[in-house]
Amino acid sequence: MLTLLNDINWMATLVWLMVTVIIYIGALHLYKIAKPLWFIHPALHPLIVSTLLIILLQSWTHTSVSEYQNYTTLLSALLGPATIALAVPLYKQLNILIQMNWRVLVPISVAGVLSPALSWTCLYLLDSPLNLQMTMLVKSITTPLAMDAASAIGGIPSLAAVFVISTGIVGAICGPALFALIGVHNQAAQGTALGAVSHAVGTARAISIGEQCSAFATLALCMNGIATSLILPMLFG
Amino acid sequence: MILSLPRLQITFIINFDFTLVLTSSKSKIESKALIISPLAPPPQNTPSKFSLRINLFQFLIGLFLLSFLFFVAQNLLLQVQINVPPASLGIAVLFCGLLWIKGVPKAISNAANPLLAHMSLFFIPAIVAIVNFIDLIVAFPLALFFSIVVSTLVSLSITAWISQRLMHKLDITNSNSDKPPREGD
Repeated sequence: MLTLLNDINWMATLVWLMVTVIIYIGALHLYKIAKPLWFIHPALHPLIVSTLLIILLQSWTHTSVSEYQNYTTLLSALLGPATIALAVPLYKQLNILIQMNWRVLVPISVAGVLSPALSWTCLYLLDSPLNLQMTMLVKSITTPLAMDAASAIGGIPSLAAVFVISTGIVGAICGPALFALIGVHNQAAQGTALGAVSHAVGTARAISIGEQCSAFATLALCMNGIATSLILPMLFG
Repeated sequence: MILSLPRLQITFIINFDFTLVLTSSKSKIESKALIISPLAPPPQNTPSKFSLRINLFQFLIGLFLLSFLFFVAQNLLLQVQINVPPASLGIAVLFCGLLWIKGVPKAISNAANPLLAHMSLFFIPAIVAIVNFIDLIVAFPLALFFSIVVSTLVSLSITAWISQRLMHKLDITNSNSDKPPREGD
């Protein structure tokens, strides 16, 4: 135990942890400041900005990815407990689930099946490798669950995170215009679609549309995430 | 850099209680929207007393409970060799627990809200590994464009259309129809 503790490079660990947190806070502020530029706003998601900055910093300091991951183990260790906390918003939306019952469950299930099936078909028809196909199956669920599910079915977790975030951004940018185009004005319907297809990024967009929209989006996000991450490993694991 | 550091830390703390905005809707469906992102604007009509201050002690207890649950789920799944993400099992167990006690304990919600709001921070280390897979992405630009952009738009519209068909009779949009949509969101 003592030798294990001695092996850790405390200084580098501390510095990289602080750098990561500070960059994240900066990206968060940039995202808030850029709010009026609604068209590029979702593309300035803190995760994208901070990941790019950290990759730049790594190449500048000649730190390898695995070294960086070792230094920031503390952050990754919190991901599991944070994901479990998703049960709390799900519980808070229980009233909607009980009242709407199959009327909300059917659209969520349709989204949960359709979205991975469509993107898998695109990849399959265009002859891409199997690990890419497996990774793409998890694109419509929230990132932590997607990363777990991807590694369970033979995909690549970090690639899954990138696909998931891009899906969310596409939905958040194009969603409202798309709803106007096809004539969906019901906030509950918009929220369900945003939450089920473009998960947490879509839910953040739904919050800006309205309260009811965000409630339905949160419910759809949790239900689709849990169902998909349980079913996919059983099918392909 | 050194001068700006304390200010950054203060804003971090402000961010933490900023995220705890609970609003209850006036619609027929008595729903509570839990805002799980610090990126969203705070509701304009919410008085400041609704934004709760984090209780550090309760946060630590809640964090311990959540971590313990994750640890147990992870080891249990290793024992029985079922290929299910441990976090999903943890969510299911916690959800059943909340149903059982019919409410969210303060410790759990005090830990869950900041953790959920700043979840992005926790997967930065994993996403950084994307530099190892750049070749794979560059090799299939068209396939990735279709499977991310086009399929997302198609499934978004089909889902929204189906939900509207199923929900439009319930007249649940009334609560928000009298408010004009906000500009620029």
